[in-house]
Amino acid sequence: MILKIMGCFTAVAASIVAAGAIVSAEKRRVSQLFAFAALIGRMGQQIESFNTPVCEILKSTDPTLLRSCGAAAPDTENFIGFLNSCDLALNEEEKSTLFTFGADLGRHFQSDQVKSCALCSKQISDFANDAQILFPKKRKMTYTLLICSALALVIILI
Amino acid sequence: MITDNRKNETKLPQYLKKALPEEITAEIGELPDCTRDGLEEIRLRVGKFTEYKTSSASRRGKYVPTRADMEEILFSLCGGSVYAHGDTISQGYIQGEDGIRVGVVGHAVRYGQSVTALQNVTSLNIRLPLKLLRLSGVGTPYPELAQASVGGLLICSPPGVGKTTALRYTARTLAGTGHRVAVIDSRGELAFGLEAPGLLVDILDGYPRAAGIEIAIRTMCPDVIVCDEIGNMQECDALSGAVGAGVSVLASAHAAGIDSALQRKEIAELCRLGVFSSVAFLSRNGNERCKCEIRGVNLT
Repeated sequence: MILKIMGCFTAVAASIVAAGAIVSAEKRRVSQLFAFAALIGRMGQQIESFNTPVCEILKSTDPTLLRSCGAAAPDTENFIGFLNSCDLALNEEEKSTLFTFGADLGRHFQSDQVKSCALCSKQISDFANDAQILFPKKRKMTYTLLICSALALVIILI
Repeated sequence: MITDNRKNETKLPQYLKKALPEEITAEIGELPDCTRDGLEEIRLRVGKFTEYKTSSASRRGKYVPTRADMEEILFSLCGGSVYAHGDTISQGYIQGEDGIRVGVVGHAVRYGQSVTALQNVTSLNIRLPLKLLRLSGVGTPYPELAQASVGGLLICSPPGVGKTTALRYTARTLAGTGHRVAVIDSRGELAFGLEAPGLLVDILDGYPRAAGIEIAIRTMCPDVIVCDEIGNMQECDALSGAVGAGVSVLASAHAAGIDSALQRKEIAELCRLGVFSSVAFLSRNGNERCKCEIRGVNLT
């Protein structure tokens, strides 16, 4: 009986921890998306106003913002290198958008580059806003599903 | 007789090592010592053999860049930010690092008569600067120029002989002898080698020449203004203004000889106004020996 009770507690605890980890990753994803939208917006501004090279923009960016993008030790030589140095919590579509933008960054004249930054910043902002709207629902759903699964397991075990 | 000091200038600058494909750096490594030591230009053309040019000869490499290669090389030469060099690319060059200048041509995107952008780069001409002596080194290969420049000196020569190098040496000599020197470096190649802390030189980087000259006079109170490749009347007006303010001018211009330089309307006018009291003509016999002829002018 004691073993059964311990098993039940373990199952419930494991489900809560797993749900917490999933929610935390989702929270990181949302904050990373907002950070990338801000970073790319800043890049567009710097390019439009001062024609600042990509490496200098990255070097002069607030380290807190770079950390919010997931880079503990950011590579500031180019944007692709920077993305690779980030611990990204994004989904494939969002990663693909960023890497496509990064591969294209710096290959155009100013006006096209500014447009490209604005477009990418808007896309990432849209992803971020959608993710933020869906976040409470996802959190609720994750906790509910995992805890219910654990309770089902407990009932079966008992 | 002046001899260029270019011995041991064999190592490719880091900037080029990073920007050029391995095939080219390998080919440069395989060049004969005399070619590699005196390398002045690396010329790349889409679909054609690479050309390595020294003062006396040119040698073909085996590497043939494709259009995609050229785009990639241009991207690397721009440090991954082509837009940051957009203005100069439209004018046909990239201001590289370490005094390196890269000529760029391709398909021009035009708005009216002005070139606004460049597509499909077809040729790149990477020009390596001649070697500068170290600041600690005594003497200069151009002592005559430094003496002559105090009253206003125009250095002229055909392209590629070493006008810019002569200007740098002379600016350095003047700065080293207590003159306040302002360098108008509109193309980012003139001030290369003048960064040493012992050289009290004001560098106006990226300014259009005429505007830079006016700003230098107003704000920096120089004894001598140094600028490269003067050409249009606006620049000439600014230079004559400098002389009016008691500032000597050291400048350069393309010319096939002193007489042909003096036949140019702007230069003749500048000499008449007393901007230049001497004209120096540089020529080279193809084996790294540079001759310098200085002539006083008085066209008043």
